[in-house]
Amino acid sequence: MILKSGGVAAAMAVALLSLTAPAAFAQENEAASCGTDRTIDIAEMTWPSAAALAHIHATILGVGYGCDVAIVAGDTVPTSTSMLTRGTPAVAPELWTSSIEEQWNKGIEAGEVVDLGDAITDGTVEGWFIPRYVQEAHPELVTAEDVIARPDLFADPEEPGKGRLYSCPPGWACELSTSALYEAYGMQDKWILFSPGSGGALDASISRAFLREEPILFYYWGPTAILGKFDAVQLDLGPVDTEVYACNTDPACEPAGKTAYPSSPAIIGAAAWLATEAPAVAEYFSKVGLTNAQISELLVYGDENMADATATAENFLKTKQELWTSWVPDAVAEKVKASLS
Amino acid sequence: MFPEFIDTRPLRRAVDEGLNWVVRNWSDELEAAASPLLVLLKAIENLLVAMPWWLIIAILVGIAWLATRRWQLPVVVLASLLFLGVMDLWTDAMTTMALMIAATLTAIVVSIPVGVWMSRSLRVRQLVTPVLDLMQTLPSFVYLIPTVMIFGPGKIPALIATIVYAAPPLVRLSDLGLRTVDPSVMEASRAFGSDPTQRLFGVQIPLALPTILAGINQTTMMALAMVVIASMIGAGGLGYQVLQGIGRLEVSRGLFAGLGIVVLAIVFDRITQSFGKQLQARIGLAEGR
Amino acid sequence: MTDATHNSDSEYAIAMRGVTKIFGERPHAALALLHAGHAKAEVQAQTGNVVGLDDVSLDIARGQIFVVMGLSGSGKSTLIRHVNRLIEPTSGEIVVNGTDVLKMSRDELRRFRRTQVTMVFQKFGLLPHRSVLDNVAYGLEVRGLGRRQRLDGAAKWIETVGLAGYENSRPRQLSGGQQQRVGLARALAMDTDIILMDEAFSALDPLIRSGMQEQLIQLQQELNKTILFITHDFDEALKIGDRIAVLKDGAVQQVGRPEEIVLKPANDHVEEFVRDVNKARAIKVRSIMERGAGEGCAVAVPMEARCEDVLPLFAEHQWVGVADASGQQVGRITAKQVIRALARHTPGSVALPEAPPREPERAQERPIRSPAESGSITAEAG
Repeated sequence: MILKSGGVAAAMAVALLSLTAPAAFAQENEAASCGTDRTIDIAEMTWPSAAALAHIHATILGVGYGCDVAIVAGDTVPTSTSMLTRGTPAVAPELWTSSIEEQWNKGIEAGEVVDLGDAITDGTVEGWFIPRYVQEAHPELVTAEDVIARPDLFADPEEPGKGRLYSCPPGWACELSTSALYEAYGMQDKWILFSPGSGGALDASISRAFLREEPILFYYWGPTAILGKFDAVQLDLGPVDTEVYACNTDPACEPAGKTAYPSSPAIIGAAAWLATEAPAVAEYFSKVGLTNAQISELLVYGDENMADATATAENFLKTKQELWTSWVPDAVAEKVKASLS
Repeated sequence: MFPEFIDTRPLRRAVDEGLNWVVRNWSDELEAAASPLLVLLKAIENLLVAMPWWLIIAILVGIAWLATRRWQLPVVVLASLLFLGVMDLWTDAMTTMALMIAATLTAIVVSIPVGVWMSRSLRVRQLVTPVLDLMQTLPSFVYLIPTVMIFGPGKIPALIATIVYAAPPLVRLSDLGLRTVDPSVMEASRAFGSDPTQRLFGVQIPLALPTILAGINQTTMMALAMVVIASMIGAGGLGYQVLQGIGRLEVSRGLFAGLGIVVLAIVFDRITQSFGKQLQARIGLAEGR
Repeated sequence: MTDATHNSDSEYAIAMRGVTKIFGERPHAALALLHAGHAKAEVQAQTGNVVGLDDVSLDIARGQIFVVMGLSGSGKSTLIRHVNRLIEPTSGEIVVNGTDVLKMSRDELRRFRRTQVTMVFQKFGLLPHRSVLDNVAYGLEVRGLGRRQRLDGAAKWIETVGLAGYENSRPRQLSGGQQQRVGLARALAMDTDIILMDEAFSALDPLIRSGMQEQLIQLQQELNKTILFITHDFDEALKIGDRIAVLKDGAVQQVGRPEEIVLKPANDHVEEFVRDVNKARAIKVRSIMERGAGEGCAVAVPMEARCEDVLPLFAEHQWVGVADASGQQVGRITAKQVIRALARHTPGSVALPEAPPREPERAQERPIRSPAESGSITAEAG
């Protein structure tokens, strides 16, 4: 009799255990699973750090979490607009929100998009630069006004008699902000605001000037390979005025005003559905921020080894394991490590 | 996976350093060599921008009438140009037109002699044809960025890129036209004791002219096709408006600028085609023999 | 036998010796085979090369219309193009007006083509982008004449061929016959001794062709050029030729005056042409008449008269006289003689009567040469 009841109790205990065990297993599997079957499109923007990050996250999510990932082309304005209105792409790994601040904040309030965390944790740099060798030859060139007074030093080869300020390709946030400053400083008479048309052309123009040790006045940002490779000094644009900056970057707002570029947050922006339907993924993204120095390392590798975004990402995953394994559960890390050949 | 035979990185590094070396040491000479092109382009552009809009419209409508001697084409040209003006695209259109005209003129000056040379010599044809294939299929950005590094961004690399892309059809069609002149006419010319130069200028070129004009038409169209790419290295014009439309997601801007490019294409395509047809009729190649 | 020395050659306008042309990759291998005696088809099968001309030797006297006749593939177009060296022979010699064409340099050849020999083409070869006047003047332009001079010269010839009024038309506005007259005027404007005519009338309608043939004969009486004429039309050859050479597969089958060919075809191939010809037109009465003044006849026909001219007269008369230019009777003819001549003729049976003296303005005729010797024609010194 006692045996029988004990047996029943044992059977029930086994039954209970077996019920909970799969649940426990399930929990651990959930931590290593995507959580959604929807395709997660990751925006690959046209500058090197954003592109590399896109591929790094695509590999980890795809191989480690088993998500269905796709890499899509993008840039600050088109990607953010698309995310705000259509919920796609799912995530932009390096989104600079300074010029889209208003729409972005509205989107967050309305629950269309979420800010999953900082992509670059210790702030970014944006401004106007001249080569150090130019400043050494003309030590008085310290502020933007000093340079604006000397268009003859930075002569435009196609418009002799005027200076040239290299601005950004259309679609980049900095195109709006730089054009606004050009107007605010009244540079229209003596300066040409030159858009190189593409990131590649801008980089090529800057490289050319430095290779030939010629003067050049250009907008640029960091962390980037260009600022890492070439010795350029940032001009003093005065204090930051966030309201003026917001108006500068709004095409509908007049008039333009003078301000330095605020240190733009570079965040990981995502469509809201990602956070709700794939919380594991969202949590992953909350941990993946890198410092300026770490990003620079990425970029320097890419430049010295002539690596494209895919190769840079692969190298990062191979060589910086202590760094990225802290972002993910062990099971995911193992899977990703195993896939690296 | 394909087995790895050599480490390509030193090779690629060597190419990059080679380019840097050229930029450092040869930029001035190369820029000087290209400066006549820049002068030509700027002259055309300044002329077009400075001329009053109604004068430009009048001239193009006049040319359209001369080309066809009917009223349809001049009306189309008029409407198209007015569209450009009304949509606030006039200056950009003039910049683009200047680029296209400069590229076409340079292409003509360079391509036709090469086509003549190719038609006379099989060896030359064998050497030049792969070069033409390369020029037409190599993606423009491959040689654009190095060109920007050598010449600086803006009009010169845009012009060079446009010429590289647009010249091959003219070379090929010149060669073809000259080689396929009616053999019985060529034989008659030889029988009367002509020398190769007399044959070239008296028989081949006049009879090949319709084909050569078709080549010019193609070159013009391909020059316009390069307009957006040219703007990606700083050429400005309608292409830049399209680029802005793409980059800033201003669909309307991109659309209207794109239509502007189409408008220019229609105008110049019809005009060059009509001249070709006129020439064919005069020569008598249109009617069957 | 006449020996082919340089001196005697210079009495001919064009003298060809052993001209052979082989088209293909390795002509000399094929040439060796040919010399060894193989036939054209064999050579082609063995070497893949095509024999265009096979050891052609011809003499063309000045001031005569020499017709080379043959079917397609007989080599006649190839042959005519050797005279102005539009095609280079594989072996052989071509002497024009005393100079070997094949030894000329490029410059000499061009001068030769501009001054000594000119050509009329089957497909006209006119420049479509120029007016008729400029087309006729083309040869003079190549020669280097000034504008006024060459246009005046051209205008004169346009009138001569009967195209006055069309000076400013374009070739495409003219009919085939008119276009060929432009081609003819262009050639005549060059005022060369020798004119090559490559199937010049073959692309024309029959009636137009007749008219052109007559015009050619008429022009020749005034101009006295040496004309080498190519055709595949035997009737045409008989009508305009002073001498005819028949080609087959690149080899000469027979050479002779029209009546000789008609009355005595040298082989089956020539016989086939002759079979279909209108002999009544082809044969001139003087070839078959009874010579000598003889009894006077009631009616007479001129020496140039053909059989068809004399036939109707036999209805009334038995004998018809043949008179020379001055009216003197030089021979007479009966219906029987005409019938015998017109009847189907087998090669190798009848000896050709003595050839009559030629008219004064024509050059002395040399003995007939024919490689297809059938032993029937006795050579007579002219």
